[in-house]
Amino acid sequence: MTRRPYVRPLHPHWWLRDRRQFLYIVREGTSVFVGLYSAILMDGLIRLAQGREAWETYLAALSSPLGVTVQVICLAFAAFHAVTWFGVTPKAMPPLLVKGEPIPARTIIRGHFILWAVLSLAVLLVLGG
Amino acid sequence: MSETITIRVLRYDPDKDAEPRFDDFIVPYRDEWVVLDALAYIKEVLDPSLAYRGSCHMAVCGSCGMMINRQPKLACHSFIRDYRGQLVTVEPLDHFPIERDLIVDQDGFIEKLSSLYPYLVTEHDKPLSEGPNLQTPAQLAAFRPFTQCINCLLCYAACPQVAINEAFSGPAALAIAHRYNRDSRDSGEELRSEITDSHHGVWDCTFVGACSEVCPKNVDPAAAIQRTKISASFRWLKARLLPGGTP
Repeated sequence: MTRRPYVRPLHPHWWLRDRRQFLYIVREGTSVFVGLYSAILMDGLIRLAQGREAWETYLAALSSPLGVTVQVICLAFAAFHAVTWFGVTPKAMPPLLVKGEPIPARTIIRGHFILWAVLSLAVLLVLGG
Repeated sequence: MSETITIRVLRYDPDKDAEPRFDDFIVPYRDEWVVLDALAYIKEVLDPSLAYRGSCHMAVCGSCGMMINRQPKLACHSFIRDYRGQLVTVEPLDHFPIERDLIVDQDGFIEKLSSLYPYLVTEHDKPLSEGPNLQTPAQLAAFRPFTQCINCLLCYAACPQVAINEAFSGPAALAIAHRYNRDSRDSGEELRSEITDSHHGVWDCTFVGACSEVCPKNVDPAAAIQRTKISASFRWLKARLLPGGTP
């Protein structure tokens, strides 16, 4: 009897063969758009430092149909990214004990959504006011 | 003819086969049968050369982990009634070398686990006269869920990082390391940190979360790894910021 373990190669489309792996790759992929929006914000800072004219040009580019489309896409992907991370936050933090009992994962996730809503509302109020 | 179900099994005989192939077996359908029963029927009645592992038949021993319709599952925990009317494809666990048929080579995992001091490490031997090591319910709760691991390796088969990085310690080994690190009787965290905090320790994990989803014992290795990442980060900072630290 010979010992000749056979190593199966990883399927080239491994992440397409399983819903769980597909969602993982989508979650990782959305970070590209989060990065893209961060780059847009950084660019804004640079334009602001360059003076009024550069800043006005930057704002005009953001308000153009292309600028708005890019931001809407980034917002959608960033929202998906945030939601997936809210879902796994309870795993990433040490158990929070209240009267010796760990706070249920669902409560922690819900807390994130509430905080998100409150902060978004605060930002909208500040901008609106 | 009474109802049957077709089991498609990946076969590999290292003496004869250059690579694995599939064999189909038609077995009787029984409501109360699990996939492990169907495999036993194949071995006893249809083909005695079929090789597979199994023992307790009650999700305790962790021997019968395999891919069932591409999902890592315990064969003793998968009723064929859940696959009624379907073809049931049974393969050895993904991401492990195939030894023969449904049996995988677990040596790599055993080495990774052994390197993480998977036992209580104590600084001093405590004489029996000092009595038992008592723990409060809270101290027990801190690590108890992680003691449930049965080394079935379903988590390794679910993890894409295990497939991509051969050196990655992997979910079960890191969950077991976390289990001892969180035990109030243990003082081996520093020893384990040499591996857990390294690149091929917790940092190869990209938090896919599949390990915890497939775990038949609800061990939650993903949580163990993320929590170890936090401890590892504090250790890293402490070594650099505090006097006497060794960066």
